[in-house]
Amino acid sequence: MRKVSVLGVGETKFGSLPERSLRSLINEAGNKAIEDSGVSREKIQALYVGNFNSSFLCGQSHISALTAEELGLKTIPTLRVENACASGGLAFRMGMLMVATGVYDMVLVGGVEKMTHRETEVVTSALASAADSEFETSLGATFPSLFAMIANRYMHEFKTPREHMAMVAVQNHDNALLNPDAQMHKKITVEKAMSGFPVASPFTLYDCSLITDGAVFMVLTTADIAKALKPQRLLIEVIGSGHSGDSIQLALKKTLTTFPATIEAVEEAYEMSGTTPEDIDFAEVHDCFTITQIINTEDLGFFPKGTGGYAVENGETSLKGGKPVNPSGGLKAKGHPIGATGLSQLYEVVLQLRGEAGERQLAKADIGLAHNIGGTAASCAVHILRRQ
Amino acid sequence: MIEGRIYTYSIINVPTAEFSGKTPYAVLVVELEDGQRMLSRLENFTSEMKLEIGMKVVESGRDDSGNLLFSVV
Repeated sequence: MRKVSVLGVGETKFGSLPERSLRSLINEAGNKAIEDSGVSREKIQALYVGNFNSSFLCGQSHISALTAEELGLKTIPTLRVENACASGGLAFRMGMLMVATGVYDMVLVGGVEKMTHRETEVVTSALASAADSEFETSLGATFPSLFAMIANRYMHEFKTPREHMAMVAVQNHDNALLNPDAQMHKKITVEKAMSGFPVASPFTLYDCSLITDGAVFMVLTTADIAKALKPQRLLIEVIGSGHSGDSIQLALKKTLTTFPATIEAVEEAYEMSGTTPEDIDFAEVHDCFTITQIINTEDLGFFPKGTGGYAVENGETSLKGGKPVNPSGGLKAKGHPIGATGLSQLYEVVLQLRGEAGERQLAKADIGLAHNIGGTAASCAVHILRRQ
Repeated sequence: MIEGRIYTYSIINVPTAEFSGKTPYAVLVVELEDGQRMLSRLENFTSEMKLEIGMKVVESGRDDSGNLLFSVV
């Protein structure tokens, strides 16, 4: 396999942008990424676009062809990647593998979602379609309720305080205050987080990630081409990639307090990169709900089982802690434009590795990890990136 | 009569469009006596009810979609 490098990145501001069309989001983020890469668009040989549910929310399928047309990519091959909330991370992996295996030398990967123009119940239905429609959604289960059941089971098994979940929300809101692209710029307290509207017990509104419009794109090429094109710039190399799956139904999982898909995907990425959890300086970790971040940081090998919440309480996951998690603000506060989310996490990793993360720049950022799950961890994509 | 215990649960206040107007309602994972688990909805849930993991539930019919429903004993 050839070494793959991220040559250019671009994203829109995240938020409630009802006046922006899908095309407008794609145009901004796609052109920013191409400009940042410094290559002419004629060099791009293929396109992979993560998009979860524009078919339902916007009446628009075939988003990959739409994207190629909007960005002037002519007749290159394109593909939409859909794996629920892991669509973005897996669009990145598809592009990365195509370059690594020598099929193409330069590809554009991206993700886009437009959600906020629809009513909450319609968006809730769109999100619920990532669960099993016959055995879960038909019973009235919503995505918040599926992860809320995980949270209740976690607190039951490990006897952890409910406040830990609120602390995840507080910390991610704090980080987002330093991210100009984040949707949410609002400081909250543990008390406020715990007294929000009870969406699905034990979750309040503050335990849930945001409904977001946004797009993120990246240009990938080989490390050799990247060095030749931009000898003065820091080389951002993709050193590890992992992809795993699990049952779509929550009730069929062996345990609700560990995500085997996370464990298997990260093991693959650690093995490929020759790294261990200790080598990871910081991580963007899937926090669709506050409990999800806690469980995932354990399954990634950062903290022992049952202690992920204590790591938040003790400040270990803060910007100045030993293992910063979600410096961007995460899905919770930067935002969760479903199909773009995996790319949004990788965007933050690239910015931190380049030393371009502004006020939230971490003191040590040589190796970063991005972790993206779909559904109730029924699929998972993990990437490890390093600066040279 | 299928019996089981609440393995975990959640009370929903923001529903999907299909369950609009039916809040609050409770979904749960039932652990059956043979250790198998299944997702269901509590038929006799009221907001005054205090649910806990481990509580006993019994089957109490099917909904329009054919899903097996349970009630707290």
